[in-house]
Amino acid sequence: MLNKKMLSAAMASALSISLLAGCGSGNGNNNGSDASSAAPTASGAASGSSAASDEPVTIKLASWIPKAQMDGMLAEYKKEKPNVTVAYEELVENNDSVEGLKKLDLLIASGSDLDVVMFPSAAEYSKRVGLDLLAPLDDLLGAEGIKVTDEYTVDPSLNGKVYALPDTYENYFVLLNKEMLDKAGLPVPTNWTWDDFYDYSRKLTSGEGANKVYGTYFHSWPMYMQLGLLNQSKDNNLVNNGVLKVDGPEVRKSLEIRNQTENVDKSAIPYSETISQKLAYRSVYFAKKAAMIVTGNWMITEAGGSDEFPATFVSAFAPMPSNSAGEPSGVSPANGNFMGVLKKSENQQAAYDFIRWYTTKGEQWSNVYSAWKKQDVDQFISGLKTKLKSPDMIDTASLTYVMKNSPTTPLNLPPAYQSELEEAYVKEAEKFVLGQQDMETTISKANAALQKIVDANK
Amino acid sequence: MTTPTDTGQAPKRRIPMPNSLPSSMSNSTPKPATARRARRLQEIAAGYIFVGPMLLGVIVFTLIPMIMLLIFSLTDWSFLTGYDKLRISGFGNFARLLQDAEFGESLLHNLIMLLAVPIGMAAALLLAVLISERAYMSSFFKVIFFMPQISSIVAVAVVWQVLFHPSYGPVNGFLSAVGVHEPPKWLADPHYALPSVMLLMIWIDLGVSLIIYIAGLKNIPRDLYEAADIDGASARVKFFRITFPLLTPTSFFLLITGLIANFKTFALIQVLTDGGPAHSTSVIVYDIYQQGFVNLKTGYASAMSIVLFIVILAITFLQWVGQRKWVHQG
Repeated sequence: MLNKKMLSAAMASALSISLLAGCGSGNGNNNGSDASSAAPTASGAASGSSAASDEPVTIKLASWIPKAQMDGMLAEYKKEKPNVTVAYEELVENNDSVEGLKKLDLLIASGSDLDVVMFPSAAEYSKRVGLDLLAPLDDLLGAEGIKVTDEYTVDPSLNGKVYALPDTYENYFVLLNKEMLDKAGLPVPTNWTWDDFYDYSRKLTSGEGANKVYGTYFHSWPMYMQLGLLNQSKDNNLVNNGVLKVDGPEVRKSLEIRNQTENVDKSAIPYSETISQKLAYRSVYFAKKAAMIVTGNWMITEAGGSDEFPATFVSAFAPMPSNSAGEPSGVSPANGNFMGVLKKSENQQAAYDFIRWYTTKGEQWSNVYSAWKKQDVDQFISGLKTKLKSPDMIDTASLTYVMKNSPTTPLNLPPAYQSELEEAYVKEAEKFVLGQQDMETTISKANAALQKIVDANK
Repeated sequence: MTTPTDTGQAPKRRIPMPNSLPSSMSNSTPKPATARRARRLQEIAAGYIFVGPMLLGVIVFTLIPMIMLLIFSLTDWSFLTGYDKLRISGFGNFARLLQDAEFGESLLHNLIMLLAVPIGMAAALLLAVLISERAYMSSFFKVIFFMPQISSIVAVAVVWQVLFHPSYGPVNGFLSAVGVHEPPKWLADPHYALPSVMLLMIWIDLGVSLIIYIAGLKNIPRDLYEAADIDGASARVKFFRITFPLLTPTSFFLLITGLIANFKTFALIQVLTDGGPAHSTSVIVYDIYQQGFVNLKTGYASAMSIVLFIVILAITFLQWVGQRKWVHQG
């Protein structure tokens, strides 16, 4: 009986695989960077696991990154290793990593022969390690004779094993509209606390009604409900090694930051507006609706203008505020893209070689701020400026200061059920920010809800 | 009450009689029997060939997925990990669902949201009567009320987001103008978000119910109204004694399809509120999506779908049983 069902399940999956395989090869033909790339793709899986150094190998990579951007990198890798062809599959057309990830999941589920995958955050990486999708890289790293912590600023180890290499490097800072700062007579902050942040936010608020310019804006992401927690140098997750951190000063601070700016000072765009209007932080910032936003270093290039949001004013950079005057400012969790090799990939060595190159020299070549320790910050900034649409719109002095003075925290990888924890926490935090319940009720309810999730996932 | 069912079943009972009579007679004479059996088999085979493509489609795209869903609901599996990791682990998912407060909330929201269907139908019926009897340019109004249905749900949602803007939206602008001090924040207020979503659902679905009701009204014989006029019946009496009873089959159809569609609402929630604020507009289908495709827990999400299936089945069954009490069968 069961066998029959399994058979039908297998049949259905075989059907869907063949469908997807049909799509896949169609893509290969359309966008193959080399005319020959389509043919080796088909035979690549068969051509064997023993990848000798000059035997032609094809590895498959899929991510949300636009094909045009990836093609340059892959051409560069072809120069480095002429025998290796990397077939790239662009998952989405709009550079949306969340949508791309959903497509990646479906692709993996349908049994596609992908080798290399990319995740946009530590949480997504950890979630998929929990599902046993990725191959441990320790042996390959050992064979090359490197220690991952010597080579990268981010330690991607999970349960003592390395399942991915850190690619881009993301930490958080405050992006400020320098014109508004100058108008209000405020200097670019270099060392500040959240109290100073409130003060700035109040002074940068002006106008009334629909034309009101707010001091700051907090996006709808769960991280903006944890601002006083993620600027801690250790244990900066809601749950660290199975221990809850909800009932503590950091989460209270996080809630206070939102309450103070939005409800008391009215210097931040109210949360009710953020969620009901589905505001987007780029349009809020570039349309001068808010003078400063807490954001991460993917916004450095965008502060120099993009097609959709041309830069019309100079942007300055300030480190993450600290919770109290004694603590260092600029502490923020390191995050970023992670690149891993799928467990069922038949080209483990070739795939590993590729991600090693991609996360180091590759990112240096494309001048992306990466987690590679040997990258030079000054060179990165000068390289960046040559690429920007309007390089004058970036305040170099404050950017250099922030990049050199952001003590990074050891990456504290969140548990595999992080998204459930955040959902449950945000649910209670929302009620507080919207004025539906007080601080202590919020803390105790969130604590109970999160404890339940931790227990269920033991 | 009993007469409609009797008349409904009487012809069915009569049909087998002529058939059974010759077949019982044919048993005594063997030769025509084999010929008839062969022909019968041929007919059956031909029948299966005709329904074959359809049957194959149903098996591959409906039956097999449903069986798979049932299997998945008994596992801790994630669709990412491949079939070799599939292990049946019993009814743990269902036991967990019973204790899942969030799921209970979503189910409650679903049940509250069902109210939107009868309210919407009442509005549609009222409008249908007005439009078909009292309004000039009735087709113009039909188009107007049908507009939300043919517009993209995303566009509709964006328009309403702006209308419901908590600080300076037209709705709250009007409310403060007439003297309401702290108007609700609508979609951003945990207490008002669900009613706001229901309001939108009614507004979007009004057009379809309206068109179907107008069609139903056209089917009511005019002479009934003429007879009522001669008897001196008032408009109210005519509505409650003629229009409403004769429209009950239409109402039943709208109710059953409406409730099922209402239970499966997803797109509107997704584009309008994301289940928020504070989980106040989450519905079962949204939870299934969250668990299945965000938290990657296929097993748990499948168990939720099974519960949803059972709930919809139960409600539909109840309606089917209940219809005899109120649906007029002409």
